[in-house]
Amino acid sequence: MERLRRPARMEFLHELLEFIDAGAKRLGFDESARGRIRLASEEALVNVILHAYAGADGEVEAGLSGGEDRSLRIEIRDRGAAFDPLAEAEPDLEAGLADRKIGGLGIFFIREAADRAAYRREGEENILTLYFIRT
Amino acid sequence: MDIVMTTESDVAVFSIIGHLDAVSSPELEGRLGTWFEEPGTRLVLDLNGLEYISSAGLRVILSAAKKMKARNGKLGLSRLQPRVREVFQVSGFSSIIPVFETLPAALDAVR
Repeated sequence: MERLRRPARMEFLHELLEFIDAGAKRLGFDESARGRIRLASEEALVNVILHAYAGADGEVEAGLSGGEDRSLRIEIRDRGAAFDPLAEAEPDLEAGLADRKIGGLGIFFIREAADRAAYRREGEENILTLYFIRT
Repeated sequence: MDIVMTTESDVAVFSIIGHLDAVSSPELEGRLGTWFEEPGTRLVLDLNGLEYISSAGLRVILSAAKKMKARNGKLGLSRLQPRVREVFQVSGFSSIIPVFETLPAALDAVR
């Protein structure tokens, strides 16, 4: 697995996303699939950047592996408090303008854009794995 | 991301170009915030040049829609590209914010 670890700060978001996009491109994912990969990855990374360390310094790591069975596996790791984003409630997508809230939409996009997503806690790490299948 | 603001007679048009993500959305929020200091009631966001949007970008657009509603103004979006359109559809935003195929259609709708 190729890995890139950076401080969990917004100024490093694009570098992490470019690293993931370059991997997806190398594995032959087309532009439309790379748009989905970028969306799910951004939402996962931004969650870590904004929430994992409650204002304290910390790091986020993106790991990539792929090739076998036309898939790309992305692992997003942080060392914040245990948090399973996939256990969060679905947002109310039917709410009208007045009641509409933005919370939860990022996690909804992770679920929607990835072919599969899984969370695990290993020691001090949160690991969110996103799978994408090349069509 | 680039933002080009123009005025078509009495309608403010913000053309948003590039990627509207967690890094760039504060800039759009700031530009719209400046516009909201004035009492304008007709606003179009032209997304012809927008290639990518994430939840951070949607948050800024939702906030603008709520402010327009609070002042009895009209907001329209125009020319969503396929990937941006898909994000609006799956999130249900297409049903709460009016979306138009062309810029003139959006301008007519907010007048």
